[in-house]
Amino acid sequence: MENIYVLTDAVESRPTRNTLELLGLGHRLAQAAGLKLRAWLPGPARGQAATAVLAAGADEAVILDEPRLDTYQPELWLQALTATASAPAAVILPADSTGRDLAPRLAYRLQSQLFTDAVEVSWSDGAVVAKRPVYGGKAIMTARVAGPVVLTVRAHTASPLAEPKTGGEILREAVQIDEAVVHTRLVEHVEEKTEGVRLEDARVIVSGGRGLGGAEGFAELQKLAAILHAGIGASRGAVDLGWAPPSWQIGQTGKIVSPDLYLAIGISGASQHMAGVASAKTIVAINTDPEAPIFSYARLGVVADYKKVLPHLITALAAALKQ
Amino acid sequence: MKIAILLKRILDPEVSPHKFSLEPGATRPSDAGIPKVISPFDENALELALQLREKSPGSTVTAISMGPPETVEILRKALAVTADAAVLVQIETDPGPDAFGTASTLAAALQKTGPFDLVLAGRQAGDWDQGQVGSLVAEMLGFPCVTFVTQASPSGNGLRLQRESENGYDVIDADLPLVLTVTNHPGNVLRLPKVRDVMMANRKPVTTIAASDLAAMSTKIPPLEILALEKPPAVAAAEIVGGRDEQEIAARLVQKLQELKVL
Ligand SMILES: Cc1cc2nc3c(=O)[nH]c(=O)nc-3n(C[C@H](O)[C@H](O)[C@H](O)COP(=O)(O)OP(=O)(O)OC[C@H]3O[C@@H](n4cnc5c(N)ncnc54)[C@H](O)[C@@H]3O)c2cc1C
Ligand SMILES: Nc1ncnc2c1ncn2[C@@H]1O[C@H](COP(=O)(O)O)[C@@H](O)[C@H]1O
Repeated sequence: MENIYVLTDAVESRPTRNTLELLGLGHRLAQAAGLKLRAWLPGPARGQAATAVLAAGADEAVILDEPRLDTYQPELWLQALTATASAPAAVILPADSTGRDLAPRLAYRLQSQLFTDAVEVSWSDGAVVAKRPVYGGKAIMTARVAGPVVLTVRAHTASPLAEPKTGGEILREAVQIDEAVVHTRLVEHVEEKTEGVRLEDARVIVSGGRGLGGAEGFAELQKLAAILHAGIGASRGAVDLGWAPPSWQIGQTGKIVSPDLYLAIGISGASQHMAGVASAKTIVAINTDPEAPIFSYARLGVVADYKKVLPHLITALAAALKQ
Repeated sequence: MKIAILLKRILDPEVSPHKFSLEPGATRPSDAGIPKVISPFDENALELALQLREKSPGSTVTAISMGPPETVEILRKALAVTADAAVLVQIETDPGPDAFGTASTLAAALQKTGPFDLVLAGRQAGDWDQGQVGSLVAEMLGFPCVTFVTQASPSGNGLRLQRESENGYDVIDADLPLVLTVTNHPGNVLRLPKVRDVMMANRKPVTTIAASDLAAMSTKIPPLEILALEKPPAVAAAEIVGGRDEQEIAARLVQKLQELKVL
């Protein structure tokens, strides 16, 4: 029988939110196709999450039992995934820095098709049918993929199972690792310190663009963020100018976020930016240009210079939130 | 170091959505009236190539693009920022989203014009946004690959790289030969050409190779079967919050936010 594979990630025994989404999707696909869903857990450390991974939708949790896989190393991971993918009908990876790194090379090694950044995946007439934004979100492409396919799936586009699944099997696979394939070595991981709320978890995000006019603008935004307990984001325009660190970038090539409230300040609303906030509940924009595209995505808009509005907004919000 | 940089010519990705049109049933947008540019991440990759040449004297930078004859325009731009050589891999029409086909043609062109120690590509082209070709070229050449690179400098016999990750970056040492895919960073914004170099660029030769003359590796993998290419559903226009002055606007905005229960 053919299998559907999901690459999972976990912190101790807890699968990440994104993993839960991918397992939910994988489970539904496997049901529709009459296939088995196998979840990969690279390294014994991730193996602790095996029980939770079964509950989240997998029929089999496959622990790749080799300690050198505990930390991400693309060449070793590719070796292990290629060796353990048996009869893959579809391989689902997250559309994050790991999944996007692996997907083309894994597809090539498995001689399968490749579909990146999917936002909708279904099973129809014996094949995967998937949708993805192209041209920076100005168009949506639907494609049918007959035969094995490696997919990356965007965060916040699939839902986890509503109820835990029972049953399933935990398998430990010994994988042979050949270090001769390693040509890239991690020297150091540098974590950017984020004061305040992580963008991924933020219910409220205040975000700034080129319209802020400088790094000082982001200092003003910090004040607003502090009152709202918000995370701070930025457009690529602001990141390229060095006003905000790259990890703040929101959009199709930055973070995909899902807040209840997204306040876009001095951001024009390019489709590539808006791709990152497609699942935000309420978008509010402050922009001097009444024609700015952001106003066709926002629920509420203010046409004004942010420098004049922000101080009043901070005062009014502080007063309102005290009540 | 012999460096190759892969540049793709695409429809200007910053064009506003209302100028972007799709004919019913078409599997490509209409390009009428939309300028064509170097894909933005390829510009970042080109800048990184030029910086590496400065840090490693004796290096050369060769710009390579696969596209129809007009693609020579973007190769001239690369020559104007002082790329040493340019290669056009000529096909009839603009390349579509067949990443395996594109990668195997480019890999063959790299083999023919190389050997190269380092191949740079953008993390993704700003038209189909696939993010596939750079890594596939690496597989086809049998080179290792590091994705989402922002900075690079020579170190020992290889390169020391910064690779962007979700909440910071990784420092990675990589051996040559190597493929890198590059993402944007304040340190790799493409420099402006000097007037004198623009004039020189027009006199530099561009090597043209017909894609059909290349012994491209055949792949068993067929291109995607596109069922539809459509505009996303229309979005509603914002309710503009007005007032006598900024103070009143701010107060009204807060009131609306409270009504929407998002605070
Ligand atoms: C393949 C690709 C991927 C991309 N990925 C991303 C991505 O992930 N994220 C992303 O953000 N972009 C991305 N981009 C870039 C995107 O196309 C835009 O260039 C970018 O989002 C523009 O940033 P901006 O809105 O800050 O700048 P601009 O477009 O310059 O907008 C600035 C806005 O500020 C307004 N303004 C000016 N002064 C003031 C003031 N005093 N008060 C209030 N408003 C003011 C202006 O009216 C204008 O609307 C990508 C592009 C490509 C091609
Ligand atoms: N036709 C092409 N000519 C030259 N380089 C290309 C071409 N297509 C893709 N590339 C390179 O591969 C990268 C990724 O492209 P893609 O996989 O299409 O998103 C681009 O940023 C370019 O560097």
